[in-house]
Parts: sequence; structure tokens; C-alpha cells
Amino acid sequence: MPMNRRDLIRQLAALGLLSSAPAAALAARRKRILPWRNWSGAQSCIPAQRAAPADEAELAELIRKAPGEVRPVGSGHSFSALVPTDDTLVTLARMSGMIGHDSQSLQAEFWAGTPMSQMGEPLKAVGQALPNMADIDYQTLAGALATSTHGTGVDFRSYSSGVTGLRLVTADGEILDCDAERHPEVFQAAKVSLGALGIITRVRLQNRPAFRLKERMWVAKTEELLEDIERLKRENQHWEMQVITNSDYAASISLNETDEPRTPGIEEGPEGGNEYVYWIQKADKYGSDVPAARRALLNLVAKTASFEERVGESYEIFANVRDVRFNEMEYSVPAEAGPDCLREILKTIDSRQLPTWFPIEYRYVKADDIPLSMFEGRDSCALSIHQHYSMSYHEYFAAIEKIFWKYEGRPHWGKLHSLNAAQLSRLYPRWQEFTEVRDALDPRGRFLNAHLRSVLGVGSLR
Amino acid sequence: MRWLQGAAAAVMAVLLSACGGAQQASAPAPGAIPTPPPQVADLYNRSCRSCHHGGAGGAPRTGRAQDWEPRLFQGLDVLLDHTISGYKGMPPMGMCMDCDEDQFVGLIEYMAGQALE
Repeated sequence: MPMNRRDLIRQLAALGLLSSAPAAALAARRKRILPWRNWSGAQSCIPAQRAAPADEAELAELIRKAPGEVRPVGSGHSFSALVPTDDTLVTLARMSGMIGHDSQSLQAEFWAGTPMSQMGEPLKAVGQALPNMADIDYQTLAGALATSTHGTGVDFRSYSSGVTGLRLVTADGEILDCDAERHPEVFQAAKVSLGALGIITRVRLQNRPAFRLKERMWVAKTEELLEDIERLKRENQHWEMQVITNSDYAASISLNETDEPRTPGIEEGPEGGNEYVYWIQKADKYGSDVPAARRALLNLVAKTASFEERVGESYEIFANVRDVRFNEMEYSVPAEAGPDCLREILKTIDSRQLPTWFPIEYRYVKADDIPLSMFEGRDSCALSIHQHYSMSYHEYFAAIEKIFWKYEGRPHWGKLHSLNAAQLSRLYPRWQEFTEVRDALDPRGRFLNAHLRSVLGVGSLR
Repeated sequence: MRWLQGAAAAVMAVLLSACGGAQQASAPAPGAIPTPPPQVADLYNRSCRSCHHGGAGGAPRTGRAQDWEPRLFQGLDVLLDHTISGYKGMPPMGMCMDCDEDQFVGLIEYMAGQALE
């Protein structure tokens, strides 16, 4: 029977479709493809499947059945292309929190999807603390371990060195418990494994008694800090500096254990420095054409800065809110080469007028014995350069990366670099130990995306 | 805080004082933030709270209608675009790797204190 417009409207109204039109429109708007992007926005993908298993059995079943690649994602804070995949993206967001602890050994076990920001308080509740922490705590535990994430201090290693046991779900869905006695070769490789051996679901960590830290920050000439560096790094448990590019100054930061009472209001106040960014950008925009004047201004301003000391629980002082997004490159060079490497970087920025206004982070990390750790076999100095997320980083990073190579630097696995397996294998004396474990656990490369195939030197099976 | 603040504050302290200073974020008074509904509570606590509780970096604060009003004025599509793709200090996906679009809407509605149309 023919139907006119009025009949159609009447029948739709009778079905209730017109009265729910706003809801229908809303639902239509919501049907968009959800891409994945990392924290800075520079890496992205559109996975065919996004999964958040609730437990290890569900994860194992997912891995067994998933077609194509399977890549784990933590908090998405890696700048390199460790995560992007067209196939299955797995988050352990639903496998988070403390599983248990041992007061005698000061060890605690966590689900690998636990954000580092949510470890301090439960550890404090059982009288424990991580010995050292990075200066941000956005990462998940699994993500931080996968990339040998670290803090600073000549007597402190990366997070990965504190692992005393872990559980791994392999490419065929097998669950492996690994420690110094069980699957020791897998255990050692898995401590820093880029998510390339399987998916780590739980981690046991060696901790220490809970403690407070006192933070002191002061500004000094970069060259004077470098001349005094042996004293600074030995007399402070944790010392680093933030070098102010286009100036002669750096912010020097020390953290030391203390019994002093907590300073009030340390969780409040300006967070992350976002409030300064507008002005820094303006100074860069208008000052970069007259670099001598910019340097004079920055030097004048830097000399006037002073900072209040802070005391708080270790996890409160170690970690910072970073709400100014950026891209980052970091290389670790032999510790003794740090000062000269930094001097050459600063000289290059100045002589080539490289566009940047972010500080350079300068830290120390103790040697370890993990095959793919950037700190394997050598005490290291980690130098990090940054570029605001809205600015191109290519020219700046390419110019500085050559300096890192000159000093035998090893790139941070989670940060931007341009190396592949041919170069990387020469930087890691125990490279083969890792690749043999990987070949045995995942011969088809199900946990490898294009980036990992490049850095690990594994051809595509597609 | 010391990350960028250390260097940036050193650089900009004088300029800021000359320009009248920057607006500082502050945590809402205790009790001012409504309890998140069960369907988004876990997601909020692990992904949103660290910035939106106190307004770090200018993030609109949870339960503060005046913070959300100009954002809501832009409409749901813009809010979702900024949430999913990132915008200024807001990281893509709000660092929630398992959130779907309905959950993003639920989180925004909770933080803004009103339903979206």
C-alpha cells in the first residue's frame, strides 16, 4: 500500500522512534572509530580488536585465539612505536593492584597493569617502598619494566633490577612462572623485554622500608655544576639537573632520605608547569630571532629563582605531574662521558640555533646485568631531550642523535630513536641471549609489530 | 612538579610577576566532589583523577560547573574529539586504554555534573 509522508510520520511516532530521535542521533554520533594514540599523540594505530582481559585465563584464551599480532599497551607513555598494531591491542587495566606482600623479605607482588602512581600508597600501608622511582609515575608497572624505566642516583638501578619474579603468558597461551630458579634464562630476558616475549601479568618486587625524601632545588651555571659533578652525584642519593636550553643555567635537584616532618601542602599548588608554558612559548617565539638577547634575559631570570624545600613520602616526592605534553629522545652514555656529551649537545643547539625551549634532563643510573637494559654492564648517564608536542622534533632530534652515537649511547627503548637491529646489536654485548629466548618463545613473532621487527631484526612472516 | 617547573619557573618567575602571575590550580574543598557513579568510578580513579581532581595544568575540575561550562558549550562531538585525540595537556584517550565511547561520555558527564546532549 502506498504511504505518504504523513502516514510515515504517524507510524514512526507510534513506534516511538521520533520521540527518541535525540538519543538516536547521539548514538549515531558515538559510532566513531576509536584510534589508539600515545601520550604525546605522535604514535597511533587503529587496532582491529581492543581487549581488556579480567584475568590470566581470559588473557591466555585471547592470545591463543587472536589472529595476527598481539601488542600489549600500558599507559601509552612510550614515545617510540612499541605499541601500534593493526591487529589486537591488549591492556591489563583490569589486572591492577597489589596481590600480596612479605614483611620479612620486604617483597610485594603486583598485577602488571598497576599504574606506578597507584603503588606508593599500598606499599606504604605495609611498610614498604620502591627504592627509587622515575620522575613521573604515569606508566604501568609492566610498561616501566618493559623499557627499563629508571630514576636517578649513582647507586640505583632501573625498576627492572628490582624484579624477583614474574609470570608470563606466552604466544601459545602457556603461563610461565619465572624467577632465579624457574626458567632463569627467560626470567633474566623478560625483565626488559619490550613486550616481545609474551605478556607479563604479575611481578614480584624487592622493596625497602618506607621512607621520606627531602627535595632541594637550586639554580646554578651549568658549567659550574658539571665541574662539581663528582661531589654532587656522590653526596646526594638522587641528583639530577634540568638544563635550561638557550641559557647558561640549569636547575639542580637533589633528593635525600630524611626523618624531617612532611612539609605542608606538597600535593597542592602549581602542578607540572603548564601555567608557565604560554610565557615560555612567547619568549621563544619573539626571542629566538635575537639569541644573544634571549640568553641574557634567561640568564638574568634564572639567577633570581629560588625554590622551597619539600619533604614527603618517597613516592610523593619522586613523582611529578607532567601535563605539558612533549616528545622525547633519551640515550644513556657511559657515566664518565656524560659531561662532555652534554657540553657538545648544548654547543650544537647554540651553533645551529636548533628550535627548542624544553630543558635537557641529565641523570645517572647504576649498571645492571639484564641483556636488553640500557644500563647493562656499565654505569650510565641518561640524557633526555624534549620537544613540545606541537613542535616538529625531527631536525632537533636528528642533530642531537649523532652526538649520542659518538659517545656510544644506547637509546631508551620507550623513547624516540632511529636505530635498527644492525646498530643496536652492536651496543648490547648480551643481545643474543635475548634473541634466543625470543626465538624460542615466539618463533612466529606474534608479539612483534613493525617497529619491533626492525629493532630486533626479525623478518615479517606475512 | 619539579620537572618542568624547575627549569621553567627559573626562566619565567620574573616575567610572570611582571605580567600579573598565572592562575594556579587548586584542589576543590573536601566534600565538594560528588562520588563517581559505580559504572565509571574505577575508570575515573585510575585515568582522570590525577589531573581533573585538582585541575592540574588547567584541566577542568571535577564537579566545578564553571570549569566545564565553556567546554560543554562546544558540544559533545568536540569534547569527544579532544578526549580521544588529545588536546593541549589532555592526553589522547585520557590515558584510558580500555574505555569505549559510552564510557568517555559517562566520565565527562560525571566530571561536568550534567548529562550531555
